[in-house]
Amino acid sequence: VTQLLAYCILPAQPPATTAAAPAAGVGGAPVRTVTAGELACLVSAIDTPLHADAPALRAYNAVIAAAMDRHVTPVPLRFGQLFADDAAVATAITEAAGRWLELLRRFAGRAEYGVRVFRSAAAEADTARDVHAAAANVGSARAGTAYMAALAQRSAAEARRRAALERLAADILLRAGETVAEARAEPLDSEHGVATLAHLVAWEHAADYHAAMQRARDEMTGLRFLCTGPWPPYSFVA
Amino acid sequence: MAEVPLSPEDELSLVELVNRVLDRGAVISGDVVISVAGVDLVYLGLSIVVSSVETMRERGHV
Repeated sequence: VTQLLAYCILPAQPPATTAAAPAAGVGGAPVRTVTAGELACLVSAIDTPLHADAPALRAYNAVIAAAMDRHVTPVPLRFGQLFADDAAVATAITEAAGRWLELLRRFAGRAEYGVRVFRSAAAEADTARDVHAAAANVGSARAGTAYMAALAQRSAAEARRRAALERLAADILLRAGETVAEARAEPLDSEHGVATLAHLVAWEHAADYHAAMQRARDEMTGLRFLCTGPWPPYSFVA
Repeated sequence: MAEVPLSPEDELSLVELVNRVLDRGAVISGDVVISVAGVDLVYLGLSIVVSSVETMRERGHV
């Protein structure tokens, strides 16, 4: 079955934004615009079932990234949203038009940058490991008292991880100063993982932001940083 | 997923991509049919990528 895969939402005006998008989308079909009032949506035809393999995800992101420019930043959609035809796309984006217009205003002139923070292997407390260990104890505890104690330990480990995450996120934001317009932080659930941070940064502040992250990387000993971007603002749609 | 092996740098960008494109991003409306096949394969790769990031750190690439 052929359906329409939706990529991102843009303002209907100026329509020039789609000119920068790659001509071909996931699976090779041409990308085109469906317009509904003040909004537009980039779509391409695709044979279903849709496969979320690496080339498809790269092609998907490429379409959205190419629609970004200094003035317009699209609302990126989660991969895999299919529609029967143009009318179905138009109806769907119109239902929450106010939400999309507000996001477009917030995103205009800005892009997302990602920072994953890892603790150096030698560093003291590994809060992520503590949470996992405490959770495992909850799973293995049988007797009532032991179970309650294990629950309390897990809860305490989670609280420590949350507190460490918040301290770190605040510290990095302080270093980034006014280059960061909005920020998100969540625990990074992997070995030595501390935080997954997302920063919404205006294009004109990008160079200062990079410099600030470089300084943070140099000064915050015991931590490792993986910085990526610019991305479409996937982490800021909620 | 018939693919050539990825270099660590490619894997790193892929994990960042997967995390955003499949886990984040806006959902247009509740009654949209999300029909994604092959997600399990991609997620399977995710833990491998996270460990490869650790390896890159040890090698001083990151």
